[in-house]
Amino acid sequence: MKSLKHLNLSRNKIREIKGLDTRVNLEWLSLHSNRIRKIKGLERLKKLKHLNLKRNHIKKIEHLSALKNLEFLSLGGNNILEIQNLEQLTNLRGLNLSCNRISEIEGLETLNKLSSLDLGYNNITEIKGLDNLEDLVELILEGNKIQRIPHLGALKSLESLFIQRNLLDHIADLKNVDGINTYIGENPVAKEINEKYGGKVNCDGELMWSEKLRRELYGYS
Amino acid sequence: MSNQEFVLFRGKKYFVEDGGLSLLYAGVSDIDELEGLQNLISLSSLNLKGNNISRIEGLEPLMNLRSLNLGNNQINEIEGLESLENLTHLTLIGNNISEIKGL
Repeated sequence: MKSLKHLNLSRNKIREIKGLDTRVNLEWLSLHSNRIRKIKGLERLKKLKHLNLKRNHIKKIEHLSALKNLEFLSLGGNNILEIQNLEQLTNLRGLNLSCNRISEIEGLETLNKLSSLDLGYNNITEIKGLDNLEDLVELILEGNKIQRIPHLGALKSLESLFIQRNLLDHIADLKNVDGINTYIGENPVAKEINEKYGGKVNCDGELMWSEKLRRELYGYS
Repeated sequence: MSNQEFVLFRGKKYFVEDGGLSLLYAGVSDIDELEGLQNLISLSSLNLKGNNISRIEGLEPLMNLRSLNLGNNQINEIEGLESLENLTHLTLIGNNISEIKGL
């Protein structure tokens, strides 16, 4: 079965990645919702473009550096503590690390083709380490512990920021997301906007700008 | 069309259309065993998802098979697929497979 390009083994009881090293034509592989503890046995699959290892028991990002053609990688719903060993994957366009235990945004500097980054539901306290991601269109930081939004000017392509369920409490920081579709529901600042500034945070958490809010932030009348 | 390929399941014929056979869309979802698959040598796509298949067998003659979907069955082991040299797409989502082998 040398010709195999697309293999979906999601939702099984697989504990170990093995037996795939000679399937070198694989371009698409999903092993989500299995019982995998370690990333290994994929080094020779150099044509791989799409790899889904969501909902397993992986603790460490490793042994992926050879997969230079990888464009989409999902490691959501594992037990990952640190973003590491991704530097070589410079063709990545989509990266999902949601629902892990990551506390710092790091190790993404070289991934300048990244267009979608999902770091939702981790333990992140600070937005940083993203300045090189000029092609980033969508940034998901929902369900973290972020208090401040810094200047995001380096993210020239950013269209949407999902940062619901965090600890945002500085209304002035909203200047940094002017022009970006921003979802800020369930933050201290969302309550403040709705109560004081005639602004509105939609039921889906999107920030709707109002004159009063602009006046508050920019000081013009 | 007397030369049209088909399988027989509980006495009913299911015909191959455009090189593909999809029984779920034909309303069949309780297959445990299929008869006549070995005759479908030109079949390129086979979809048997959502049945009660516990063992992959009898697919060896399907040399032209490119796409095989056996998702949501009761399969424990990947087997009987080695000879399918043209297979490019394989879906085994939602089975009881504990080991990657037989590919």
